[in-house]
Amino acid sequence: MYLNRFLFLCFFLSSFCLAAQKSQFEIGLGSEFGWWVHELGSENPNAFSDLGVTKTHHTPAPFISSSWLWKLNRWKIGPSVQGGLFFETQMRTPSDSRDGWERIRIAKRDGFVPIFRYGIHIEYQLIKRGRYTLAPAFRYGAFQWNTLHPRQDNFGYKHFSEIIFYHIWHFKKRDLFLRMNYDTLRVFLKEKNNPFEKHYLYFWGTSFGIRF
Amino acid sequence: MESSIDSFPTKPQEQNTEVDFLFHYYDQEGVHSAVTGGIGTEKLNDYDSKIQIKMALDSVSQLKINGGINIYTSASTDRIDRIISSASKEDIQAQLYVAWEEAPVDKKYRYGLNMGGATESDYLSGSLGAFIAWESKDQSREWLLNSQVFFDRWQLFFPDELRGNPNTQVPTDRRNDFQLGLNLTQIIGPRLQASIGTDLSFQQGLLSTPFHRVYFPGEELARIERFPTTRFKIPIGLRLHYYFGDFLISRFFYRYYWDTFRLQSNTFQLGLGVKLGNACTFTPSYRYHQQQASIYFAPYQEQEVDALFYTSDYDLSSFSSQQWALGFKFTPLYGFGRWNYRKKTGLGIFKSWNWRFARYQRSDGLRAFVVSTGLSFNFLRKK
Repeated sequence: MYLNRFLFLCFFLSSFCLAAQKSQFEIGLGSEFGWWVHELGSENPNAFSDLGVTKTHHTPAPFISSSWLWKLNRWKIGPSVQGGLFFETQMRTPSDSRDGWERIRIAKRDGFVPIFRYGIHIEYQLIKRGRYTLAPAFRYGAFQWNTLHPRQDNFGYKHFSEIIFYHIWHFKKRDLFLRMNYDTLRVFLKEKNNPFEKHYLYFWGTSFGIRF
Repeated sequence: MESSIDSFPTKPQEQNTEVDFLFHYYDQEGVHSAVTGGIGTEKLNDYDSKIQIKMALDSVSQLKINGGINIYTSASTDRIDRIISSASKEDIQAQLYVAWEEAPVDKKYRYGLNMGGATESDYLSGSLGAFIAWESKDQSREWLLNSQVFFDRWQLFFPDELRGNPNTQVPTDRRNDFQLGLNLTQIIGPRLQASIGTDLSFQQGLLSTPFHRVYFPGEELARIERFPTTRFKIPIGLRLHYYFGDFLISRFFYRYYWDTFRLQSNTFQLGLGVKLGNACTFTPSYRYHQQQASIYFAPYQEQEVDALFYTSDYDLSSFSSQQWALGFKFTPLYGFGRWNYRKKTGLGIFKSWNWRFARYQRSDGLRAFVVSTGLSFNFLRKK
């Protein structure tokens, strides 16, 4: 199934590149904030997770990202990669309290969880006035991470989706941008305790960068 | 965002770039904290700093970027767990908002888009919005239609003693807010300007605050606050500006509010703009607010035991409040200072400096004091 998806993506990208007018390379630096949630599951539609929610604190995650984009009329498309550090080391279980310390370790003490994402970037030039362009974009792909979560052997396919707004200023040889993004990362589980069990990560962030 | 009833809409100005720095300090005291079930300290300090940039992209469009960080310390949220002066005592919120607007030449309409986001220790928020405004041929009337959507996600913090309790459940960790505003502005004669409008709001999702406690008679353990998963709000506002002359402007505002939590309120505000010389404007104002409680509110240990929805948050109680404010704005004709930049092709001006002091008092004992100041700069590009 994943091979078919990959082949289709390569075909689509190749077709686009042949028709595209020019390409652009982008690199950006920024930070996002969010958390990792493990919903233990619920069979009650009126209750958010009967069995509780294991979660991290609200955590910063600085990142560096890069894309290679081909332009066709108002559209841009291309592959993108992003490397980030999620600065959290443990998750709190539903019953974690001051009297009962119940935590799950996800990274070494004083450490972080590195997250590497790769996928496809699709962008549309919505508004262009003077030197300014407003361009919403969407990214979708997979991610890999290095975590000490005790049930990581049960983690299957991991994917992310990202909604982005680019504010771009054009200069003679390069473009500068301010980017706002809202991400959802999801981990599929090979075996679930119940059908509603899931892992999610949510982030909101900004970044600055340059395009050549 | 262009708000229907909070201000008169303005067209994009053809200045190059304006930069405003805003600082704000808020100090609050009270004795009805919702975190501790309607009793307990509401002591809170908030330090807020913002930067607002307005830049002309060309002769008809402009971009606004607002960013800010505020740090607050709260004695009540310190009591989410039982360790006083723990991490829950302090919090930081950051936000970023970008809006694009355009007013085509020789057209009687203008429009815009906006997007933003905010983050705090227990929620993430994203927003999208748009507006369009039409002007009449004689320019005496303007209609403004705006819409805004907020997508929020909570991180659930429950009171310490209720964690792991099977009754501590909420329906979702999301909250969405859909807003639609309509405003009509009319110039009535050379001295009088009026505006009437509404900002309808529909909220959906987790509307309660997960760490608010509610105590019931005969029960030792509290429950968490609980609300319906939808709420519809209808505010209607009226604004009148009367120009006595170049030296004096009066501003009157009235708003009626009702929502499906059965909260009703009336708000009156009267303000003046008095010119003291060529460079100084004095802006005193007074605001009175009266509110009737939501059907879900009851004080500490006065809730019905079999109630389905309940809160002891005094923001939803019956009360009246008053606010007095004094403001000063200093705007010298040539600014406080000027300098050249970019090899003398650019001119920077420290344009104005404003101060505002406000005192807020509520009939349930909540008191607050606010000090804010703002510095405005212009950056012009010479041709």
